[in-house]
Amino acid sequence: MLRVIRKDLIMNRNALVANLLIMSAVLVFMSSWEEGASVGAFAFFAGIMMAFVPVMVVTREDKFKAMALGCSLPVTRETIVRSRYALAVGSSALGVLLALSLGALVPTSELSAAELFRPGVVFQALSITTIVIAILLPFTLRFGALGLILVLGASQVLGIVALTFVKMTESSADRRLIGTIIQTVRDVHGRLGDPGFYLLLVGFLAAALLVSYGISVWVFRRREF
Amino acid sequence: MTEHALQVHGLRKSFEGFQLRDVSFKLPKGHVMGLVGPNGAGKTTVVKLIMNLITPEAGEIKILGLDHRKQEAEAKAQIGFVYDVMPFYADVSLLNTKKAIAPFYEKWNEALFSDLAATFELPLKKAVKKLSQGMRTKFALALALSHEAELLILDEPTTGLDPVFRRELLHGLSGLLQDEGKSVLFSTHITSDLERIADYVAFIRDGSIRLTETREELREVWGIIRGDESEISALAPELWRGARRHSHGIDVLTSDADVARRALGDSVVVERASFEDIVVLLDKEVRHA
Repeated sequence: MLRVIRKDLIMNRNALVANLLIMSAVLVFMSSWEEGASVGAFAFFAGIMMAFVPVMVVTREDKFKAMALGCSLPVTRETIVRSRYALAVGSSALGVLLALSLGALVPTSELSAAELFRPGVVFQALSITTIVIAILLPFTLRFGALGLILVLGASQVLGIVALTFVKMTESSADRRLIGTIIQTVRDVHGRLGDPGFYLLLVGFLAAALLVSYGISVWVFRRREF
Repeated sequence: MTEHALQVHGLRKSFEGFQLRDVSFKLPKGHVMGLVGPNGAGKTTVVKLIMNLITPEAGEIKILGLDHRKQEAEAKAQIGFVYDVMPFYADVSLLNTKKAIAPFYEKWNEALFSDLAATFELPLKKAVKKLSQGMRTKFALALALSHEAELLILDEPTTGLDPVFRRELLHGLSGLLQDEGKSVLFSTHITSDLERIADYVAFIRDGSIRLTETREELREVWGIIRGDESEISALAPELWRGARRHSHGIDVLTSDADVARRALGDSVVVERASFEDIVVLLDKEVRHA
């Protein structure tokens, strides 16, 4: 597995650094808004943006049709998938911590360092990045760059349909649904306390990654080059 | 210990408009087998199936006795591969590509790679995209040969190369193979490449293997009969393996030139069949008994 990760880092080093710099610059800009982006919104976007950095490893491989190279090397497809997940989770977690540090340390930032490094905020950003990776990787491993477009496109369509539905029916179902989810999370948090809640969250994220990994192995084994 | 570097049995694969049908052949260790056929015959599909880049609908592939899917990593550690279009990252240098690939092979021989890079005059610091097709093939070949692979799989490695470099490449390859006793599956539509280095030749057309023979057998036994159709009609149907009519008469491919010569006498010309003759004529306008 380490050999695949090493290969991916060598083959994508410049692109990874460039993407990380671009994402970081956007987040620094966001942290410097005078109106003040909330810490929660900053953590949310940091989580999403940093999830896209490692996914780029797969889309670049697709761009150069280099998956045939990786799959011709003495390694099983399952190992390739496992390596992609390890690299994605590791690098996006580091990316999130870098983003939060930038939000806390750059002089122009309007965000409070103490707030940014509250466990709740860190966990929020890590949860978002993990979930985005869990959703994106099966699609990108199966369809390459097209998979990324498919997920982004489907999210847009879903959002438009939901908004149109809410607008047409003058329903407040969306707010009620989101409110219920937030309230449920708060209730569970309140009942379990910090350690129990974060443990549960880690378990949930691990399960999401495991399901995503299973799907990715299944689709990648069947992919033809 | 298996005596075959590669055993392919009953391989089937369908795509829209194309079917690979019951492809079977064996490559004995230490020999070169040419897989030859026109474009679209199924050569690359066979190579992709061997490399597990596509999944067969039926059939079995053993690489040095190892199942190509169940023992994929072990089997591929023994293979050096060169594809017609190597799927390298275009913006990565040759040196970094080598650094990324070398650790996958326990038997990687850095000194050998350096020698080959010097012999092939590879510009290691240049990005892949700045190289000509010939240089990319040389680089792929250097990688394939540097981990002491037992089996080399070369898919159309000479396509797009100029004749001078093609000859150089084949000469170098032939030397390496003779010295080290490696086994090679060499797919190509350029038949002259095989006349130089192949021990066995498998002819593939329309997704099925039409003939597998040793080079000697093909050179010494097979022939082309040129003459009028009326003169050649006496040839036994089982010796008539293909034909092409033209304005001056007919060319018939026969699987036994000596027998044909004796049967037809001096009224026709019987010549040695080149691999190209066999590719062009085999199974065309076959007469049935």
